[in-house]
Amino acid sequence: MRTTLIKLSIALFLFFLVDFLKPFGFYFCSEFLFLGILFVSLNLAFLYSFGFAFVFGLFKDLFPPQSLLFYTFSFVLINMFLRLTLKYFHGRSIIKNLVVGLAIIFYALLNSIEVGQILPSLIFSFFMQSLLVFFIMERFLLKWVTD
Amino acid sequence: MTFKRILLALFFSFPNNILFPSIVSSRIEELKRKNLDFRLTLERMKTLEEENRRLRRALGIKERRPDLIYARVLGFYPSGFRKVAFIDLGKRDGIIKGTLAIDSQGYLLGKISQSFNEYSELILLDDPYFSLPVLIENKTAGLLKGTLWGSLKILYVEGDKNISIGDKVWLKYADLPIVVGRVQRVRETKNDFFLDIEVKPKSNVYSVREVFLLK
Repeated sequence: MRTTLIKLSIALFLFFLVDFLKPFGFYFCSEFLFLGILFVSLNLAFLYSFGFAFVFGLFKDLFPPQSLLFYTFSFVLINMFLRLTLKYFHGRSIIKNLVVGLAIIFYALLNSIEVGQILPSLIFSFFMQSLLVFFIMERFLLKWVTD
Repeated sequence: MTFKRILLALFFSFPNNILFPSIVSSRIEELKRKNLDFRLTLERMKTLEEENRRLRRALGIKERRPDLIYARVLGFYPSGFRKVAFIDLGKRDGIIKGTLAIDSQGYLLGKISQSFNEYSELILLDDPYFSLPVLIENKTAGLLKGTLWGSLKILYVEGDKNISIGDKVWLKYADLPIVVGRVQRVRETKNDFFLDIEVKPKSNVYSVREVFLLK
């Protein structure tokens, strides 16, 4: 378990770095750290995933400093939403995929409200890119973490 | 004389016609004409600049030319819903809030929203929190706003200002005209007193790695 937690911490930190450096410029509008939090929320026990969501949300809020702890709040909220949904509807991958899709839309809407502009085209683009990257990422990350 | 003409035709015109067909030579002529035209315009500009300088001196107006400072982008705000970059110059380099940033082509990229000792926060044109007063040709002024989706908006322009598609959007900074982009769409809104104006920026805000700051 300890190795898994260390590996996930490294992965999330690297995701944050990719979000900060933006190697694809603004052509890629999704967020790797957010996708990492989704992964953690789906695959770890509540206590650990909550801890990751809180710590990395706070980390994102502090760099650069935010007056509102927006990401801490969003990550924790999404983590709780995923855990609660999967608690009642577990076992089916279609439910899991649906919940991931809903979480991405919810996060995009929260961000849109925060910046004061709801752009359907941007939300759609964010949703498609996030979904695609999440399923690719999940496959590789799961393999690396469980190895 | 006739012998000279024959020689010229033999050694110059004939090979020239073979090597450069009429289309190419007419294009070369056109370019030469354009080149000359540009040279004459440049000469005229030089004269005007000199005259301008003389008149300014006579009127006691000081010339203001901003310094261009090169800055590298360190990173970006880690969100898909903000367009903010962090650059490697800060307060100790004399960078203050409101300093404008342009790209290597001279088009507006954004402005400094916060300055720290070692680095600064550059808010790009397309960020939803970006706003700056701009001019549309010489017709009117408006407030430029970012939309997060490539194009920009100009707010508070009244319907009677005769704004049309293709109008230049620019601003004046220390006697230097800085182009922002061109009007892409103009719409009259039913319930609003102001026009809905969309602007296509000239600079590429999707991929920014270096900027020039106007100090």
